[in-house]
Amino acid sequence: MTRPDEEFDAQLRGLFADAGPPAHDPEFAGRVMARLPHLERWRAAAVTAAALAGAAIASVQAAPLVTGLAVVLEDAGALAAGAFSGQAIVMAAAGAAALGLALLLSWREPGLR
Amino acid sequence: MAVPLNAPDADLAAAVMAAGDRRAFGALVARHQQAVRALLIRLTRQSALADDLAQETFLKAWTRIGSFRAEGSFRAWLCAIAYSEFLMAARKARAAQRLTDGLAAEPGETSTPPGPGGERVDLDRALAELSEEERTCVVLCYASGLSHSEAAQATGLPVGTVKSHVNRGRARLKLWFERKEAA
Repeated sequence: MTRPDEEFDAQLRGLFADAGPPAHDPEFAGRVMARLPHLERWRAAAVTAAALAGAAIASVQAAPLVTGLAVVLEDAGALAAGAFSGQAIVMAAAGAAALGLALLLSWREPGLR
Repeated sequence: MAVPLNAPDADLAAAVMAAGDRRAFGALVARHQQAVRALLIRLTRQSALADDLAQETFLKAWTRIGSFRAEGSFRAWLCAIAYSEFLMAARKARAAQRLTDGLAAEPGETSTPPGPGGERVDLDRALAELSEEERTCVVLCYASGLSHSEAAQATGLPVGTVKSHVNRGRARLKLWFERKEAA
């Protein structure tokens, strides 16, 4: 004689309930957490700081190279006379590059932020 | 403000998504590890392999947390990843059929049932009689407690197919237990 489906359903659910779940493993979560990728924000911060320092040094060193450009711009009336020195232009360019680098280094997939 | 660790799954997942909150993710792992391990033990019938796949499941969950939709069940979403990990493990074994043959074998030295007890071994043996799809759908719906539509989401199968697998699997299990009782 076959048993009604409902009765067997209950029996089956009971068998699964009796058989599981496996014992709670208190170390399981720790093992998973230890394998999660680390954020490494300190590394991004260190690289950004180094990039900014490098940009500052480069701006001092490279300022004479763009002085001529500043003169041309001043002559063309694009900039207010004396408002932008060569050093300021280089610093601005280097700063923008450093900011771009910092954004790139600190970018992560949504779950990794 | 940190989300409380007893917050609902969706809130914890939102904290992980928004700020990579490892504490919240740890709470989700602790909350769902048994269910995920139970599912994978049922699918692989090997505790060690199941634990490895469960770890991979949670690592994938961390990287893919952005794809979780709060209107769905977090456990169903995890089960989908776990099932995908199971399938990948089968493919890595180069032949899913080989793995299925191994799974269909009687419990032996290489497979570790979830625990002692005659009924547990009976259930393992009965499940071994099912096809891989039937076993997966039966385990997802009866052991993991997923609805048919959640099981369909987890397996990528149409809901109707899941229902068919569940019905066929249940019928075969019923026959197996009736034969055992009669013997």
